[in-house]
Amino acid sequence: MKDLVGLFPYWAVALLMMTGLYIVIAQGNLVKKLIGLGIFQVSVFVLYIAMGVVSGGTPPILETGFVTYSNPLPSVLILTAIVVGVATLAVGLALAVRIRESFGTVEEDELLPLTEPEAPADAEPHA
Amino acid sequence: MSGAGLMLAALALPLATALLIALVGERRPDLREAVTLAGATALAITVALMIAGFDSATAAPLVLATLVPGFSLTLKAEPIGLVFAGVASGLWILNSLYSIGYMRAEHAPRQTRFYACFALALSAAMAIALSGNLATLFVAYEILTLVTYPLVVHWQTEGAIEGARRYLAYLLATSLVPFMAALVWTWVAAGTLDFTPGGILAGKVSAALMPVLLGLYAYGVGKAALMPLHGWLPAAMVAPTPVSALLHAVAVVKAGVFTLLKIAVYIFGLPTMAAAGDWLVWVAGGSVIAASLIAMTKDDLKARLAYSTVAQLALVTLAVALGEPLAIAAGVLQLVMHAWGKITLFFGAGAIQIATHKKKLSEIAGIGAQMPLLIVSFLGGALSVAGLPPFGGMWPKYLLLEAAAGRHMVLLVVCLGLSTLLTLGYLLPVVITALFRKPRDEDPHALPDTGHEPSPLPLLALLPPVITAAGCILLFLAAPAILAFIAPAIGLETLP
Amino acid sequence: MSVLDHAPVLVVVLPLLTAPIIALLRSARVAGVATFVVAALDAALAFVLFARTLDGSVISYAMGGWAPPIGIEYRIDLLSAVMACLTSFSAALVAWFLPVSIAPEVTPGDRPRLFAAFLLCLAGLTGMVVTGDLFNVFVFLEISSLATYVLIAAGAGRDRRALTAAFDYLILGAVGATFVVIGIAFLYVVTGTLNMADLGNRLPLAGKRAGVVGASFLFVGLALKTAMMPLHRWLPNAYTFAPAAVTTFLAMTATKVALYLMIRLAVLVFGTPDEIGRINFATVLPPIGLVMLIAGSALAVVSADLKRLLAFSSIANLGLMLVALGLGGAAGIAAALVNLINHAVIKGGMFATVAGIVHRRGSSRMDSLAGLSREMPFAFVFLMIGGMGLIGVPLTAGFVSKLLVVKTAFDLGQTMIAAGVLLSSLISVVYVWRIVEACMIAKPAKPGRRHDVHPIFAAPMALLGVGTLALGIEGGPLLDVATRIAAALTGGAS
Repeated sequence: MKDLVGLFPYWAVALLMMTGLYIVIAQGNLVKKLIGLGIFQVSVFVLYIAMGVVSGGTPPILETGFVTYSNPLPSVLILTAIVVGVATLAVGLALAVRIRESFGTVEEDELLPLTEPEAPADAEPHA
Repeated sequence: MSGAGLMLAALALPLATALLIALVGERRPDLREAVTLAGATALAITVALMIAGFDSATAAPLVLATLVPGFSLTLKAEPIGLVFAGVASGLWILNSLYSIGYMRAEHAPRQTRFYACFALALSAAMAIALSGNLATLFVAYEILTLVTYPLVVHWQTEGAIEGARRYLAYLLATSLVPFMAALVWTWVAAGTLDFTPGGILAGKVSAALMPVLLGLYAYGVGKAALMPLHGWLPAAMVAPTPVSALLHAVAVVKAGVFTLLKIAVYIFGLPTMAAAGDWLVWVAGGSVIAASLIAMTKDDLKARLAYSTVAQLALVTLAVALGEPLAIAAGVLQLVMHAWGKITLFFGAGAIQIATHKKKLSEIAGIGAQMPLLIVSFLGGALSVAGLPPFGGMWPKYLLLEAAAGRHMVLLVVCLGLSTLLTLGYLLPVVITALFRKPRDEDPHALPDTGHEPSPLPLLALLPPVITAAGCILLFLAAPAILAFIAPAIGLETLP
Repeated sequence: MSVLDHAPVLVVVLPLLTAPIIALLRSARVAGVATFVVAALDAALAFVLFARTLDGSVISYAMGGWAPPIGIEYRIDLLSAVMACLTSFSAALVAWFLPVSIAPEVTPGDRPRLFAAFLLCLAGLTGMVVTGDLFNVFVFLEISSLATYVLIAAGAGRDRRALTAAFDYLILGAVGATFVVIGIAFLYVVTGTLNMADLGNRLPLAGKRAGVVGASFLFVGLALKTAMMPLHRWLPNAYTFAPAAVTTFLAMTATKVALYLMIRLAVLVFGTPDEIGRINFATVLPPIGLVMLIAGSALAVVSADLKRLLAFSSIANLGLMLVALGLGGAAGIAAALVNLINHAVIKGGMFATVAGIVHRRGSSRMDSLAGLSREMPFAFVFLMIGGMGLIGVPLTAGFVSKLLVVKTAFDLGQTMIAAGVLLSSLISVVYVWRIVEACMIAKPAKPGRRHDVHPIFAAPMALLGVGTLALGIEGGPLLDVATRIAAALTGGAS
């Protein structure tokens, strides 16, 4: 019981991670895949932050009265990772928009016959 | 010129010839052919100088490059190699003369590529002949396979493409897998790849595994066409006849059996070879008989000659497997004699094709009347290949018989005798049909007349076979000199 | 401190800071020239690093003056320097012909931004090899990956499947990178440090299970970036549909850098050159590598497009590198490194030649190559040299690569692996011969006139082609460097 409550953040991490991965794999819509990717990445953020928290800790302030600090480094790392995630999402969505313009769809099962790798080339309509 | 300089020249001259041929190109065909002949002559002179000036005490290795520490490209002159170089360079001149006659008579396309690749093949053959270690031999061996591909696929018809693929498939598969495996195994076991008198493997590989290593070499050297991996040789018949002459006589198969000879003498060492080679004697012997029998069933002249080569090469493999000086001497002589004999036969078959457009035994009845000199030369070549005096081909057969008798191998003696009979059995009918059978005008099986008048035989296509046939007789007399030249290297004490 | 003392960081910062400037330029011509100049300068800096570490010394550079292990450290030994040379020289070679090569595919207005993405990719890849901080590795990994997705998508001008290829790679790449960051999280949690050398010191003392979990996540994430089977699916499409110049750059660098990371992590972080956590290289890598060798070659045989054929060939060669690494010990690492450099040169040369062909003829389909030997002899020669390198014909770098792996396998008694490698080279003969026949034997529909590649492609093709031969004729120097690196890695492992 103590493990369930005390390790609650890590259960959340596992749940989010699996949910995100499942969406990436199972969803055929490209935008939904990106959403799943986002959820997957969020789980990692929670993992880091949860690792950094010290019970009873405060931000690292150099003043009397502040003795126990929570680790600030994971938060910093996560800021970087969030930015990376945002950038990935942006590029992904831009690609999805271009795919929609070019192929007319963002559904994977409609895209597959149009993107047969061994077929001859087919340039963009608005190249 | 120093020894090292001559060795470099032997490799560089054909290379330069190839380059010049490519530069001259299709614009000036006569100049281009002159370049080939000049290059061939220069090479022959270089090799002659090397042979004349050879002294085993002063022959030093020449390191050209080191691919990886322990795997270096090294040239070193030694008797067996010089014999091979002599054969290749001498026959290149004659083959080039014949090529000019043949290719022009057939109005062949892509002749620049043809002559250039020919020269490259000779350069590779020289590198094989002068190799100082197994690494160099392997590298040159691979390059030879690749530069002969354009020659085999020359006509670029469907059949030629298919045949060339098989050629490449067999030769690359055997060299990339068993040959390379054997090479690395030898390298790891012996610590070196240098050709050393007495061999480098004695005691380094267990007696149980030595035949396995030998097997990897015997089949890895695909150019020796040991059955059942001989299929590339008949497949290569799709090439123009001068290329067949190159393959069978000048360079390719000779490189194969030469490799086996070098490996036997300088990698295994003769005692080790004799101990490990028992099984190979019988496989090679079987190959001789089987290939000879198949040759007798072939109607196409070149196919007949191809299987004949398979059989004759197996005699060298057999000699190598016996592993004693007398047998090795027989193997070296067979390399020389078969080259001169077989090239005569191929020149003959090609000449028949130019003059009459006939390729099959069943079609050449009575053509001897048109080209008596050619058919007589063909007869000379045939008798030499069969091993009858006064032709050079008698020597290797005789020495092999002596070696077999010396080991009390009765079955082998019988096998060798049978091979001579079978050789006569598949070669003589060509001569007999050409000379003595009457052409049958209302032959229902005759091919429709293509409307071609039988063309006169170009001089350049007639002269080379006459010269090589005469050469077979001269070699009969020259054999003892060759034996004396190689005797110290192989430990031959008493000359027969 | 002279400028060159800052080389460790300049080699990353230079392309990183010039990229946005180039993106803002209006003239595509100026942007193209600027890109090449930056890449060339970067190559010079990398060479300085190489010269300084050749004797075995290790350069340690503290970012911002903050001493490691608290501060971020850039740690450059001979291996890092060699890899930095690889990425920057590849970039310089490609930047030389990139503007001309992508001209038919990208509008002039978009080109400066493309060049910027190219430089960012270079910055990311170089950053990965020079940094000594594990999270920094992740950051640069993502920088290079994002830039790569953009670069691949630029191929849409010629073939719109580049967009879906880029998207697929984005999804897979992001998942892989996230796995890496999860792995880093676990390692951080048990040791409290992100400095790779420091991790190496502290990891054995820490709790076992978290370390193993972290290692596993890291390994899987890197495996995806290395295109290790079964995580290789992104590579064929990405290489095929990206612009040929981009493919040239990627083929020479991307997967190689990921392989470098695997070696670096194993040695520096986990302290054993032979395993990452519980994942033992000797058990895992040779089987996967052999499967990649055989399957990659087999798939290359049936490809209808030359770039796709070469992409599958790359997978096969990556398999060979993994087999070499799996043989273990200093000999295995040295063989893997030689294979890495040799393959970069061979494949780079081939893709550069393909770029020249595509630029002139508009297509890289196998059936459009007919008549190439007559119409584009210069390109044909270098395509042949590369092809011989892929088969492993002696006198090419490919032979040296294969010989080293086979000999090392024999030396270690692993005859089955040696046999597997030799047999797989047979399949490579088949697909290379398809190229030969397509160019030399196949009859073109209508005979064209002689119109060889645009002159700008000549220098990279020639350099890489000659390099293929030079590394094959005198393979000693490279092997010497690789052996020294391997000895330092295995002897000095903590």
